[in-house]
Amino acid sequence: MKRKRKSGKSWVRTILCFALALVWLLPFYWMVRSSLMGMSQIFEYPPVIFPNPIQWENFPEALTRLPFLTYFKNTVIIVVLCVAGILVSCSLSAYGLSRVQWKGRDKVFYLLMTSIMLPYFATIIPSFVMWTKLGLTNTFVPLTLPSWFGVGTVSVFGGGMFNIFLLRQFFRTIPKELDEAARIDGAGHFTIFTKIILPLSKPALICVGLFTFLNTWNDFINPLIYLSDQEKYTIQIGLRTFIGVFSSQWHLLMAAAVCAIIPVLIVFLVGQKYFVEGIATTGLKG
Amino acid sequence: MSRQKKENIAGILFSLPAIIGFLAFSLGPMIASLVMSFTNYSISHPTEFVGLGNYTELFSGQDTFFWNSVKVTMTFSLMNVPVCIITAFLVALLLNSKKLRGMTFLRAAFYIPTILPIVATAMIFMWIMSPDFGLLNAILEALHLPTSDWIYGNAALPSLLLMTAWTSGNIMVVFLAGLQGVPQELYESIEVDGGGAWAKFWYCTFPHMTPTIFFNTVMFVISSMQAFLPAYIMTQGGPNNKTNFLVYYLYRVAFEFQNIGKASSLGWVLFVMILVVVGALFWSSKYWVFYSDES
Amino acid sequence: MKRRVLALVLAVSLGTLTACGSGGGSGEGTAQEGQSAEQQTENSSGEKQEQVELSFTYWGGSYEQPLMEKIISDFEEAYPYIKVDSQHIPSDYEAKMSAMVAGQEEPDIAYIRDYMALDFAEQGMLYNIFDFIDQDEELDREDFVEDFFLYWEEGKSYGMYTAGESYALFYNTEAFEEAGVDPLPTKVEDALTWDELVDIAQKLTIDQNGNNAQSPDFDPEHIRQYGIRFDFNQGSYMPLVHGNGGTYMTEDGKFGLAEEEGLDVIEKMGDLVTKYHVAPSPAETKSLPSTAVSLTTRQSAIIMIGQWVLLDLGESGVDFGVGVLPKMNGEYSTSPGWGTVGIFKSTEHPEEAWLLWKWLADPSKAVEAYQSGLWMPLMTEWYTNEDLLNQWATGNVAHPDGYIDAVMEPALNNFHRHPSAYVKNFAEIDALVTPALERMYLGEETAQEAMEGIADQAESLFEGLYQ
Repeated sequence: MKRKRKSGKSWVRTILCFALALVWLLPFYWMVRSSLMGMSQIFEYPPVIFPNPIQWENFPEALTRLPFLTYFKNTVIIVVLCVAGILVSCSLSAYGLSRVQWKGRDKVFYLLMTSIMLPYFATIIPSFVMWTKLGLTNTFVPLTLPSWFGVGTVSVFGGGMFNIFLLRQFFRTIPKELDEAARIDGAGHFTIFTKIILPLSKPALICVGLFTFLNTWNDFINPLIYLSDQEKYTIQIGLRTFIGVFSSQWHLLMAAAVCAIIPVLIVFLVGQKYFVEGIATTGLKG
Repeated sequence: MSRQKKENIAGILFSLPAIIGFLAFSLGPMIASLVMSFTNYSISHPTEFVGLGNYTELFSGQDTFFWNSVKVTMTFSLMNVPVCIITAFLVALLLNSKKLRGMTFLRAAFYIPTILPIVATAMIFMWIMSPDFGLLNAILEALHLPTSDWIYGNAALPSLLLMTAWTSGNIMVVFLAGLQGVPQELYESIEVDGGGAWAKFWYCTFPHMTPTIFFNTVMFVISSMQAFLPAYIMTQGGPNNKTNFLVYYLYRVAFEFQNIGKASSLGWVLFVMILVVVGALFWSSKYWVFYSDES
Repeated sequence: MKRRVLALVLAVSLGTLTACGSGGGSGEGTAQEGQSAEQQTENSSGEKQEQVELSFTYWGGSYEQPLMEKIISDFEEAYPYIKVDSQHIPSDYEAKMSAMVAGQEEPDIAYIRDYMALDFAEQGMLYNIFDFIDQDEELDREDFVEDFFLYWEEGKSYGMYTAGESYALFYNTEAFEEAGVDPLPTKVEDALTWDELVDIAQKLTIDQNGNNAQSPDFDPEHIRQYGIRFDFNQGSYMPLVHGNGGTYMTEDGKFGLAEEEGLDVIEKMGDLVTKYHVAPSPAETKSLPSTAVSLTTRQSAIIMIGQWVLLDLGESGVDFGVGVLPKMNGEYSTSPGWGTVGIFKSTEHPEEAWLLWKWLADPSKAVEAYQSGLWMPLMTEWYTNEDLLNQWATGNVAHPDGYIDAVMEPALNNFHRHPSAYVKNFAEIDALVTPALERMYLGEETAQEAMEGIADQAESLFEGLYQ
C-alpha cells in the first residue's frame, strides 16, 4: 500500500520535471533550429518551427570560415591548465581557511573575499599594464598562471574566490570528529586533507572543476585583452566574429555556438553522475 | 613548538596559494585603481590628482547617470537574487533523486542554458522578446493576455530576470552538490516519527542546506551587483537608461568617455556597496547558518 | 580515475570538432596556401633587406576578417621584407585599444573609432597623414576624395575613413509592386518631400489583416510589414538634420538638435513611429538584429542605412532597389561610417606603416570588397574613371540600377561628416541624446521636451569643434 502511494507520487514528479525541462529547453531548441536555417528564415514571421530545407552546410561553413581547429586547441590548453590549477590551489587554500585553527584565519578569508568585490573592468587596465611590464602579454601565462594561485577568470560566479569559498563551505559541513579520530591515529593535516576531506568533497570538487571549465571555456574578454596574436585566439573570440557592426551572420554564429558547447556538455554529463554518487560511494556513515 | 604554533604554520601554508595569488595578482591592480580613482587618468591625456573630485561629481548629482545606475543596480539585485536562488533551489530539489527516470537528460536540460555562449543566449532572448515578431507575445496573444515590450520598454529590468533565471544552472548545481551532504539516515528517522515531506524539508533539508544557501546568496549578490553582460549585449543600458547598471556605466565611462579615473571611482563606490551588503550577510549568517564543524 | 575521465573527455571533444571541421575543407586550404606564401617571401627577402615587423589591428565581421587577411598577405608578398602581425578584434575594440595604449603596446597602424582617434591625434599620438602623402612620390592629396579625410586641426588629418560610405534608402521591390508604389527616386533633384515619404510609408505599412496604414481598419498593434525602418543613432538622423540646414552642435556651442532645424527632423522621425505607426520603435528595431534581414523578410519595406548593407542584400538574393534620402529644407546631405585608419607616432617603422596604409586605401588591392557592396573607394580615380568605376559599381548583384545616382554621387557631392568625427566630447553628449530619443519613441516625452530637456547639459559638456 505504502509502496503504491510512493510510486504514484514519483510519477507526478517525473511528469512535472519533464514538462519543466521542455520549457527550459525551448530557447536552446531555437538556437539549434536557427543553426540549420538560412539567414533570412531565422527571423521570418510567423516563426518557422522546423527548418525547411535543413541547411547542414552552415556547420562546415561556420567552422571553416575561421581557423576553429587552432582556436579549439588553444582553448583546450588554457582550460586544462586552469582547471588543474584551480582544483589544486583552491582545495588547499580552502582547507587552510576552514579546517585548520589559526590566528587571523577568518580575517585573511574576508580580505581575500574583497578581491572579487571590485568589478573586473575597474582593474583591467592596471592588470594589463602589470602583465606588460612582466613581458607576459600575448602568452597564455596571464590567462592560466593566476589559476594556480586561486585567482580565477572574469566571472564572479565560478571564479577563483568563488571556488575557495565554495570548498570552504563544503569542508565545514564535514563533522569535526572525523579529523579528531584521524589525529588520534597520528595523521597530520596533509593526510587528513587527502584521505578524509577530499574524498568526502567529491561533489563540491566536481562543481569547482565544472565551473572552472565552463568559465574558462566561455571567457571572452580575458583572451581578447591579453592575446595579440590571432594564432593564439580562443573559440569565444571566433564566435564574436560572426556578429559584426556592418553584417551579422546569425546562422553561422548559431552553428558555431552549437559546436562550441559540445565539449562542455560532455564534461557536464560525465560530472553530474558524481553529484549523486558522491556520498553514497564514499559512505559517510560513521 | 606548541600545538597552536604548529596549527598557525600549517594554516598559513595551506592557505598560501590564495594568499600569494591575492598579493601577486589582485592587490596591485586594486591599489592602482584606488589611486587612479583620485585622478583624472585617461590613456591619452596627462594625469593629474583631482582629490575627491570624481567622487563628489558622482554623489553631488553633477553626473547625470550615477544615481539612476545605483537605483537600477540595486533594484535588479533585489529582484534577481531571490528569484534565481529560489528557482534554482526548487529545480535542484526536483532533480535530487536517484529514482527519477531520465535523470541525466533532465539534469542536462536544466543546465544547458548555462553553458551556452552568452552572445547566442542573448540573441535568442532578444528575438523571443521582440514586441511584434517574438515568441512570447505570440503566445500571450493566443491566450488573449496583454502583451509587453519586454526588455525594450518599461518592463526592461524584470524581463531581464527571465534570462538570468533561465541561466541559473550554476546555482542549481551547487545546490545539487549540497543536497548530497544531507544525511539520509535523518530522513529515515523523521519518517519513523511519522513526519511528512514538509517536516523532512524543514527539519532536515533546510538546516543542512543553510551553508549552501548562504554561499549561493553571497556569490549571487556579488555577481548581480556586478551585472554587465545583459546590458552590454542586449539593451545597451536602455531604454532610457532603465538597464544602465553600474558596471555597464563604468565600462562606458572608461572606454567610450575615455575617463578611466572616474571609472575607477565608480568601481570603488560599487566595491563599498558590495562590501556593506556582503558584510551584512556574513554578520547575519551567525543566526541562521549551521555548520557541522561547530556544535 | 579523474585523469582517465579527463583524457576521455578531451579525446571525444577533439574528435567531434575535428569531424565538424574537416567537412568543408576549402577554408583550410586557403589558410595553408597563405602560410606557404608567407614562408616563401621570408626566404627570398632574407638577403635583401632587414626584416621589419608591423603590428596592425582592425575590426569587422566574418566577411571582413578573411578578406583583410588576404589583403595583408598580398601586401607581404609585394613587400617581402615586411611582416604584418595583423590582429582582428571582433568586439570590445575600445577596451582592447585602451589597454594596449595604457600598456604602451599600441599597434603601429590600426583601425580606430573616430572620436577616439580625434582624442589620440590631439594628444600628439597619431601621425598627420598629409605628411606622408606630401612626401610620397606616387600620390597627391588630390588622388583621394577630399571629404573622406578626418581632421583634428586645419590641414592636419589623422586619417581617412576606413572606407567610403554613404546613407541612402533601400527598398524591397516586391513590397513596392504589391502595394502599387512607384520605385523611389534615385536622383537628388527628384528626392521625395517628407510628406510624400510618409504617404509611401503608410501605403507600405501592412497589418496582420492586410490593411495598410491609410485604411480606416488599420490595426497599429499588429503590424506585419513596416513602411520604413531606421536605426536610432547619429547615422540615421544626422544626414536629415544636415539636409535640413541643422547641425549637432553649433560653433558657438548651441545644442543643434534642440534648435529649429534639428528639432524639426527629430520630431518628424518620432512621428513616423508614434503618430503614423509606419516605422518600428527602437524596441522592435533592437530585437531584430539585422536591418538587412528585416528587408529580405519584408518586416520593413524601406530601410534607411549606410551603403554597407549592400553586402548582405546582395548575398541574400532579394530583389531590391535604392533611392535617395528625402528632401528636407536645406541642401541634400549624406554621411559616412565612423572609423579611421591611423598610424601611431610610437611606431618604429613609419615608412612601412605608410606603405600598408596606402595599400589598404587602394581599391585595386581588394576589388571584391567594393564589388560586394561593403566598401566604397577612398580614391578619386575609382569614381571618375569609367573603367575603374565599372569594376565595382555596376554589373553585380550588390549594386542595382540607380546606385551611382542615389548613393555614390551624393557621397562625392553632398557629404557631411558625422558629429562623432568633429565634436569634442561626442561620446558623453551622445550618452544624453540616446535616452532622450528613447523617451520620445516610448511616447513619454514630445520631441521638444526630450531635446530641450537635455540641451543645457549637452551644452555644458561642449568643449568645441575640430576644424
